Amino acid sequence: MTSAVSNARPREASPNDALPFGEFLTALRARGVPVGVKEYESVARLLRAWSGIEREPLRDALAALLARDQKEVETIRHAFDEWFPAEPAEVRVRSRRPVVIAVAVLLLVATAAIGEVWYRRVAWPTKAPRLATPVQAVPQDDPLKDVAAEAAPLPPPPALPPPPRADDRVVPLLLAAGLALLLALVAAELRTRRRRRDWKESYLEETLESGTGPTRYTPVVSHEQPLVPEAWMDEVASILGRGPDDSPGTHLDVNESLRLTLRHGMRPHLAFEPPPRNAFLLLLEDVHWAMRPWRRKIDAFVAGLGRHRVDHERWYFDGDPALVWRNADEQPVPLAQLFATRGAASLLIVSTGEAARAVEENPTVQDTLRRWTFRSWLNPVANPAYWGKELDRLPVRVWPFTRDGLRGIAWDLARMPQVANEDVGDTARDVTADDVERMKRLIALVPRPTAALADELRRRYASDIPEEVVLFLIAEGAFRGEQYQLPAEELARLLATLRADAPSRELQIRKYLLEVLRDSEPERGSIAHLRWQLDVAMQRLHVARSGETETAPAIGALTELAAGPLRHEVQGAVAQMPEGGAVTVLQRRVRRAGEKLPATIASDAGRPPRFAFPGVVGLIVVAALTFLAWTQFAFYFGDKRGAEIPHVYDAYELRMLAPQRGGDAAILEVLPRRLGAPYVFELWRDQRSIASSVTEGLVFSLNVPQDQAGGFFQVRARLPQGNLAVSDAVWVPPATIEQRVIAIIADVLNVDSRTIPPEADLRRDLSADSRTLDEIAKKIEQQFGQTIPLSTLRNVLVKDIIRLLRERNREFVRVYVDVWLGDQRTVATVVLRHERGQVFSVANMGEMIAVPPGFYTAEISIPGQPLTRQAVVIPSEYEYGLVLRIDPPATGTVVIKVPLRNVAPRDVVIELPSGKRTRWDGKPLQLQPGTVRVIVKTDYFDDTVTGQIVGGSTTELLVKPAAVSGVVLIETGDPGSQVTVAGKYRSLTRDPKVGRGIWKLVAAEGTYSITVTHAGLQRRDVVKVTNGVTTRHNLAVPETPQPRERLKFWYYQSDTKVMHQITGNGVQWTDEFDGQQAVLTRKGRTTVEGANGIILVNSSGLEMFVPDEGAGESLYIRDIKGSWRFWATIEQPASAF
Amino acid sequence: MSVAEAQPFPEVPFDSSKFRYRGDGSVPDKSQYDSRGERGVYLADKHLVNAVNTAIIVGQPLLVVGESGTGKTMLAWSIASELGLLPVLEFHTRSDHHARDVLFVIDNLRRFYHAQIKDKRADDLTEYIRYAALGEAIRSGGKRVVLIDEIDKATRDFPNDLLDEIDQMQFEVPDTGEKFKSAEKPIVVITSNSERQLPDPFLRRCVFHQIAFPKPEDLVRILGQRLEPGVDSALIDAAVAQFGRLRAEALKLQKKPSTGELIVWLRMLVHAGVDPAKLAAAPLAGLPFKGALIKNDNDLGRVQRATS
Repeated sequence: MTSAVSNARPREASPNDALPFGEFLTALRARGVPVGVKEYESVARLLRAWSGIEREPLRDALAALLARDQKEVETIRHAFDEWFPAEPAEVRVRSRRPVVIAVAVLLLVATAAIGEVWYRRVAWPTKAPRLATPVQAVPQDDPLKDVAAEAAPLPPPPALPPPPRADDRVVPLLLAAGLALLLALVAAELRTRRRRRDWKESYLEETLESGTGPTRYTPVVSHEQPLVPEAWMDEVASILGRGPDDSPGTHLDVNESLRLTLRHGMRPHLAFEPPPRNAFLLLLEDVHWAMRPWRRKIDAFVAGLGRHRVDHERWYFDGDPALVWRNADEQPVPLAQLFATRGAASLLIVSTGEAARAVEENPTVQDTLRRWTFRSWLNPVANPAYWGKELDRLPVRVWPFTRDGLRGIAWDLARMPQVANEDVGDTARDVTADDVERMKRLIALVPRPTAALADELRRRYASDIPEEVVLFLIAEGAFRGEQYQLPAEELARLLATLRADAPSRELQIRKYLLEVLRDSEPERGSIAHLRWQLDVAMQRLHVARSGETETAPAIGALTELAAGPLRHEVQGAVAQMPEGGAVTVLQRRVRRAGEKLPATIASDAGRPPRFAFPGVVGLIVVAALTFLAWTQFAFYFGDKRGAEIPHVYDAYELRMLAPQRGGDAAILEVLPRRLGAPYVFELWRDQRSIASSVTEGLVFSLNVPQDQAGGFFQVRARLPQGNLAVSDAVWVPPATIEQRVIAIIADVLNVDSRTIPPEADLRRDLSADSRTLDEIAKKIEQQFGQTIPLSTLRNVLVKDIIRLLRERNREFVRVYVDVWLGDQRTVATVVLRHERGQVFSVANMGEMIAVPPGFYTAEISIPGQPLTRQAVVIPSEYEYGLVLRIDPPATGTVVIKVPLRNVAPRDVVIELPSGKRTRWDGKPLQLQPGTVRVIVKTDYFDDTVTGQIVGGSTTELLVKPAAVSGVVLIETGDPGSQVTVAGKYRSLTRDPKVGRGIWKLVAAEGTYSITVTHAGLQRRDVVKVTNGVTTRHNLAVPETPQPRERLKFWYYQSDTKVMHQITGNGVQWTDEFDGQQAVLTRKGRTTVEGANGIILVNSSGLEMFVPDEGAGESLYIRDIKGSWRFWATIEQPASAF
Repeated sequence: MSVAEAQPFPEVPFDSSKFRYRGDGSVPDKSQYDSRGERGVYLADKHLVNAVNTAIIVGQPLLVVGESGTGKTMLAWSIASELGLLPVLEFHTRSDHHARDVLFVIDNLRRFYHAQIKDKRADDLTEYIRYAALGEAIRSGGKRVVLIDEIDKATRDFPNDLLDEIDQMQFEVPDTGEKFKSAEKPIVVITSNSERQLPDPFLRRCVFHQIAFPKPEDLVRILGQRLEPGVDSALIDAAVAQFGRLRAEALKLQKKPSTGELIVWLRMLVHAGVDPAKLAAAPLAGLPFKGALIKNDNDLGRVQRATS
């Protein structure tokens, strides 16, 4: 036990085994236990933590872990016991493993075979045929290069005929065989079921027939009230007892005689029984079927006679009193014979009207009856209204079964001279239709409505119904044999009516019926007892449906009965119940129980057949269906689903050599590419075979005539299986106009077309005369439909003719491209991309371009605008204006660039599109579309730049004019000095900003002669003007030296080295100092060094000495940017120091 | 590549010596056996013991089915007592329960009431969260025993909705965003009266065990535990014998009496001082206090007829 598990696990032998119990779990899967990956994982987790080595706990653990219900628990434990028996099982494992492997191999082979068949069945997609060589884009440098053949889109390549399909016979046969087997099994199953059903029916019928004991039971009815009231019988007996017969008895009383003999010392004494006090009655009772409803009443009457010691003898007849009998097993005797023996008795005939007809028709019987002195007739029908007329003609007085009637009979039979009173008293009322209906309702409740039970129900629950209602039921045929029978539909109607009208009454009656049934239980084990059980169960079910008790016991009993011989009766009884609730369940159970075999089968009854082969008819049907299915399968799979034999697409290589020059034909070359490609093949153009040839492994060449060009060419050869060996479909473009024109010319001139260059002149180079030119013109007109005048042909080159024809053939359209940005025409670069890839571009405003008609994508590039694409259509026109409109954005950006050193932003004035002027702030501007002007005006130059503002784009305005002027500041030293300049110049002004006596000359670059006049003295100098440069010249008229004056000012140093111009009244210095020293230049003098005490500069200020004549004047300094600044005021003349 | 190579089985932290269920009532030192107020200890058969240990090892819930009165619910208390994991976290399933109810319940009605009377406690949602059995087990973080009783009474989706929480041992309270996760898987005992077929995915994640009705000798053993000491063994034997006759298949009782009813009946017999010999000889119809065993009119009729 301890090592059983470890020894038994087959896969435990491998230390690398990752799935312990793998085979065991696989076996469990085969037994229906759902073992998946999660279960493997759970088992592994269990084993990893499992510390025990005992077998039983592991068995329980695996069962608990893998099972989902108790059935699977048992399955797993059983499998565990098989796989891991308690004893060592190495031998078993070794013997089992090859079997498992063999099964696995078989499964693999079967799976592979099925997969292979399936793979062959699937119509895998075949290789698509290749298209012709793609069209090359037209180089854009020569838009009129030959693209005519490519202008039209290529048609689709010709389609190959569908590949043939193999005639597949295996699958239809397999399917038909499978279907045949299935149908045969179905037929066998159906026949087996029928046989089993027949066997079951036969067995149950036999059981029903061979059952012991009674087959039917009679309800035992206990009467609540006596059928014949005792008072009635007392009266009858009293009247009958008044008879005159007082004679001693004739019957010996044996016991009394013996007793008297013994008492008297054995002296014989005879004692006779005393005679009855009343008359002897001979009862002739009719046992005709019409009397059956009344039998109980008659029996009760006869029993009453016996109780009252009325001596009587009971004889019977069946409808005709001519023959009577006393016991059923005795021979009937004629009535006359009975009269011979019983003629002294009083005769009482008990019958309804049926016997009266027989008596009326039989005179013998009438005579015999008349011979009875005391005779009477009792009709059980109490109401004479329902008697037949023939009763009136009888030789016997007829009395109804009423108290008065019985009294009359008694008087008739009492051997008394008194005549009975004819009056029979009050009779019951007549029967109405309502009485019949009510009686039927009562009958409907009774499982087996005998006359007695129905009459008892009438007495108990509907005593107001006259008993003559029976006559109506008999008349309707409701009374058959011993009991009433109503049609099923009427029965259901009656029950439903009763249930709706008086459910409590129904319940009450059914409870009474259950009491009756309880008293009527027949012999157990008999068929009658089964029927009794059925009736009891039905009544209980009816009672239970009222909610008083549970329905389950009754349903159980009925279900059990439904599996037995009475299944049809049970089903019939259940079917009459109103549906719904438990009845629906009951009906289903009863139906199922009836379909099952009996729970217990007698040992001598044999067994039901387990299997029956399909009969001849079944086999014929199976064969017919199989044949029909096989034909359908063969048609379906053979024609539509058979394996496709694909074409061999790359069997040949078909190459097209394009014509090299005008007039050449295209050449097709065929070369077998695959080994086994047929030598004999056909060359197809589109869907038509145009040539057959043989390659024999060599290259086959074919010149394609011009009239054959313009189509797909393909090599095709039929292979033995019906499929094709083909090449790629190659498109041979149609001959171009150039080829055709050159071919015409070569043909007319009878020269080789290859010798005709496009640049050739017909007359000069090809020596065409008027006749040949005329012939060429005619042929051109014939082929192209275009008329070219001879005068034109004489003066143009071959290529001009070609171009003319191409233009007339609308191969090209002269397109004028115009681009509008908003409402303004603009310059743009437009690239037209044809849908087939040709690219043409135009870069100017309103440029013409020749392009093929078709669909294009226009890519529009406008400076400063994003690239825009538009789809355009160029129709096949001679000329076409292509207008491309682009909506501009709302504003555009203006960037002004002034790369001039001496120009500040404030020197720039901008004139907006609205006409308003503003100064530039040095930043880019956002302006409405329109024209903007930038105006720059300085000493050196003035310039105006105009730009166009385009919405959404940036306009860059560059102000960089060539320098136009230079500036010369002429220092005269005295405001009263006059300056004249020889030659042309821009301006000469006395500039108050720089000081009085200083003149500003603005002039073009050059050398100028300047004359300064002061106080009658003149000084003439030559100055050089350099554009863009301001120079200062001291041209003061020499005079006597002036006393010096002291100029004091402060200099706030902000830069380390700045150039300054310092001008005082009549004094000008051009200085350049670096913060420590300054060089002063005095008019008319040489340079004076600042270090000489004239000017001192230190870190905090600058001290300058100037002539005193300028005291009170202001000094200005113009800084590097050209602006003048107040510098200082001359405080005191030089004389001050 | 096999599954095992692709996904190596995780190591299971399992101390078999610590969590080893014996089913004999033995408890750890310094602890008491608790059978939820009942007398005696719970005696499990060996199959049940193996199933419990399997569930503990693999960390899967133990689904226990069987007739009512066979001790399915008591099993959880027995496990908790023997493993020292008392008290049992119980969850008694109702037909209106959802899977979330096993984890926690938010008393929104009370919170609404507090909000109506402007009680400040209404601002704190955590006041109204009550953690149910499984939620409490996960929150506690330790080894616990969870009993989910009569799961077949719940809605059909209830078992499937529980799968993730049981597998992952974590849950989140969406209203507060709190997340709880437990490294230690609780021992989950789920009982079912088989009133309804449970979904297959749920069954596959459970360790299954059906508690068979005890054999007579087991019944005597159980009664010895559950009854007060001093009860006449002859009376027990006679009662068990009559009990077996009542449960016999031939009688076809709709509701067969169970162990619990037998215990009640025996207590009544002891209280009334019934003679064991008379009890053993009595016909079924003459059994005293049949009402303790037979709860159905039809069954009572069957018993009466069987004797007549």
